[in-house]
Amino acid sequence: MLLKDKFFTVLHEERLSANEAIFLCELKPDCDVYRGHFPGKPVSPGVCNIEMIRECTEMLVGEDLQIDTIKQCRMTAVASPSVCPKVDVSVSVARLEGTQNYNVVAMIRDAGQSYMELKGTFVIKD
Amino acid sequence: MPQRNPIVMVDKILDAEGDVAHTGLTVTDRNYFLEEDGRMAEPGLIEHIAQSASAFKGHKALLAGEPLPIGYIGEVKKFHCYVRPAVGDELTTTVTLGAEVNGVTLMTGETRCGEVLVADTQMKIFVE
Amino acid sequence: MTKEEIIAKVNPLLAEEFEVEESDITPDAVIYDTLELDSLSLVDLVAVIEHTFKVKIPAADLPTVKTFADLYNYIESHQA
Repeated sequence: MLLKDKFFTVLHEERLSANEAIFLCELKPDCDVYRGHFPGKPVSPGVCNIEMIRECTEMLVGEDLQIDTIKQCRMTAVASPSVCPKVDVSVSVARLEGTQNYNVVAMIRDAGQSYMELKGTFVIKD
Repeated sequence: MPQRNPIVMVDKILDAEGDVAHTGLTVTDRNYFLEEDGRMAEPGLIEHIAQSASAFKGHKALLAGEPLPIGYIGEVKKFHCYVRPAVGDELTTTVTLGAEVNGVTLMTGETRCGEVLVADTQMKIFVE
Repeated sequence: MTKEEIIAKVNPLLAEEFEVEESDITPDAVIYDTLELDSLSLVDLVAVIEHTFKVKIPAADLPTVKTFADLYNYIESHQA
């Protein structure tokens, strides 16, 4: 995985069912991505949060996944290791019958607010 | 754009006219989103398209003598990844800027490698 | 375009873009509530109108467009 243990670490994993889990993740302030994004003003890049969702979804289903489509992904608040050192990444999936595709609904939030909401389709890699 | 290493995802603006620009990125083995199989992960494509739009906005600001803006992605919509590009691939992206309200700009992006469609998306970027 | 034509054209487009029932879009309804607009989706509304009618709604005019009737009037009086 690209960003696990680099951009974030998983502190705790709560399985709600075979298709749903909440990953308590810590955003690592020493990640090299903050050198450029932005100098002196660390902001977690939206695409790194999307990648964190992909990697959590891979952990949930136990497969390597590729993002096929993102129907909609809203960045609802600015996230950073200082604003939200720990976040819940909740993921729920539904396997589309007869395909290699999962419909994915995911959210990143903490007690205070939500940072990202994503709806899309991820496909199992060949 | 004040985008610096390690995630610089645009090499150059190839041309820009009106609301349309073309940008280029060559995928190297140092790409931040490169996976173990030598291909770029899909969020890298989103970042490439977002930075293309930001670079275009920055280019316009420079021409107008304005300070360089900082851009954030506000929303990604109707993103489709058709193929993950590999090391050595030269990507060309068309970004089209659309409506703008209170600092939120709607844009569309389409990335190709040669004739092959790699990804397309709609996006909203905040510029401040 | 007459106002009736504008309404017939824009309502289905808004219903599709914002995933609401077309029957919820009535002249007196407040756009922001019906379409659940926020700072991000507001630009979608502006883009739909611009794309469909070639009518640009500048940010300064947005506060005057509160209900769907306001929107229809705005399009009617600003169309080319």
